[in-house]
Amino acid sequence: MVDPGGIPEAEGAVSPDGYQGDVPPEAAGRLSSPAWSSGLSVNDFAACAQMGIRPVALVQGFCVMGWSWYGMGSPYLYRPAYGGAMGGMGGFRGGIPGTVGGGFGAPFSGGYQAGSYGGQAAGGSYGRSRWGSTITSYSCPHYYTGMDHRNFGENFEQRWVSDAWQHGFSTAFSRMMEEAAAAGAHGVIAVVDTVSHLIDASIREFHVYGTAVVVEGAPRPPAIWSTYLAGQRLAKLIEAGFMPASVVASMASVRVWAVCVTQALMAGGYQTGGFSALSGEITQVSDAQMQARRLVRDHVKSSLGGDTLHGAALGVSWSDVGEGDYQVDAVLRGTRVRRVREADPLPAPTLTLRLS
Amino acid sequence: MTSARDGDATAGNLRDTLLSLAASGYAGRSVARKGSTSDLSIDEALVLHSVGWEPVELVCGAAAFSIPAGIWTWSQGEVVAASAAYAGAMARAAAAIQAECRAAGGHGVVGVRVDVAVERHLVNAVLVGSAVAPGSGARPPAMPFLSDLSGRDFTLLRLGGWDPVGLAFGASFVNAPRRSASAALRQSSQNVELTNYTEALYAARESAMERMQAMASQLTGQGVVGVQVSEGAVPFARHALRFAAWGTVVKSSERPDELGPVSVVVPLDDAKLAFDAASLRGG
Repeated sequence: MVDPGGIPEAEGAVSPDGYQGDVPPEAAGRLSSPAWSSGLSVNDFAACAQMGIRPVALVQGFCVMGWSWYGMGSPYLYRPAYGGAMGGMGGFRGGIPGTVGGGFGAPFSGGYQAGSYGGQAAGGSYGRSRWGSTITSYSCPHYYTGMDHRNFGENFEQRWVSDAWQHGFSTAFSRMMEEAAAAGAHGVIAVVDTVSHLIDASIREFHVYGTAVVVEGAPRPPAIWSTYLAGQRLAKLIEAGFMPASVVASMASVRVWAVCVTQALMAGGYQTGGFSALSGEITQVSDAQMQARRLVRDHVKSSLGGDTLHGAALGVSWSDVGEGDYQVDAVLRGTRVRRVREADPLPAPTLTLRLS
Repeated sequence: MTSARDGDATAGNLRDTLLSLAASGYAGRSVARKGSTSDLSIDEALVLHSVGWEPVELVCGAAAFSIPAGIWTWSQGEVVAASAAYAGAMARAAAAIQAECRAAGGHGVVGVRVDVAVERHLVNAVLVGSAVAPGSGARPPAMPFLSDLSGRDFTLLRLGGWDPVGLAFGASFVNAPRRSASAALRQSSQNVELTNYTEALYAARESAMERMQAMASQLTGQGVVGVQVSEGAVPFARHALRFAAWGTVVKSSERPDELGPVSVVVPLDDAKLAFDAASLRGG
């Protein structure tokens, strides 16, 4: 979570000439030079100038992360339950958590119990907090259970994935904010962030940039504020009685380990083992789609501290990983804004006919 | 529709406003609804505020339905199971987003984005929008409305004396009729109308529109505004065509039309929006 608490305090931020942080020396030199750069369009630049907001520097932060679903402390590496899952997705079949060392009879109620693995844990304890936790679990409605029949399924919050995303984003973001502090900024506007694969899929680049600005004639604020907005939209936000506090962004990743019914439905209802054809809702996938979005919203909400999230942008991707298994990733971005004054509502709108 | 405040009251003073806010360290005020979230633009939030409505929560509804195996083989008429899966997924997603809206204390959802992915064995329907409520704190209705209209359109509708009541949708997947061998041979080397595909499109269109309008009546609405249609080929079945339509169901309220006379303006600025945050974000 990008927490405005992590933004360098203005008191703590050193003046550009005395800056001792880890902003590269070349960058510190550039930031302290009298010439400035800005990522603002001319329109936004003009609107900001009108408000007394002056750009001081185009500030940026980067963080390049190694990116692997099966690395980074993921449970796949350690759990014998996944068939030593380095063998790929095939390793999951018949290896749903709970089928190893635990009986088939006990449905999950509160997620993993470390003891239910019968001491077969190779990687130490299966702590819920370390990698993630079970959100919902599903059991097989059939009486017959063969060796390759998926008796249990679950939707699992892959927290090691969202933690890595958060680490990459927050690091890039705070590096940008350090540069802003070095440039003596009051705020950073027109923030743009990109998360993309660099070179290949195993490397992910987090890039955050924006225009550091000062409010002319104003004292430095207690904390540097930041926003995705700029120009006229920023003006309207302030006019509406809000002040941006910080850019916020978070990610959630939900993995579907399909139970037999989900697996069958995802393949069009064809079911081996003599069961009749199925159709209708794939509850486990519907749930995962909802859960990823709710989780990411809850992540962001937990960082708002009573403020409002403005201009939320929710991006979701999902992929079918075979055998009915499924993954949903959600990213939510927006600007945390705070009501700083009561603003009169605009006059009620009137109809106009534009001759443009 | 415009809602304007003249320059003296805004831009000229914004500099002073900002300075006085900075002097107080941007100290926050208490707000009635803490931690609200919305994906409305600032323009939409302002125009909603001007008629006394506020965003409450970013809400979503999603549902996945299975399309049975074997139904994409070329047969005649409608691909009934695919149409049913589509209808089921949309209905479940709508129910889910309404439940989220109710839980957040919203009166309805505006700006709902409809995103339906159809795969060979799966229909995935996702609805995302901002739950809104009047600032008066009135009790939310048992059945919140859904609307894919923007905050601006919602405001205009209400001022015009109409209320959105829900989202109506209809979809149909249809097999193109087989051509006779002689027709296929004749058409293979000519640029002529492939009447079987035209017919299939018409058939799909009629069922889908009929379903959408039936749903509008069911929702006790008078009509559907802002109907969007999506039609075309089904990538994994060369002989099947699809048609889907959705829109916001409206009905007239007891409130009088508050729009008043129309004034004519000739704008001298760019018709295009000068700044779009999303466009800056890049890939």
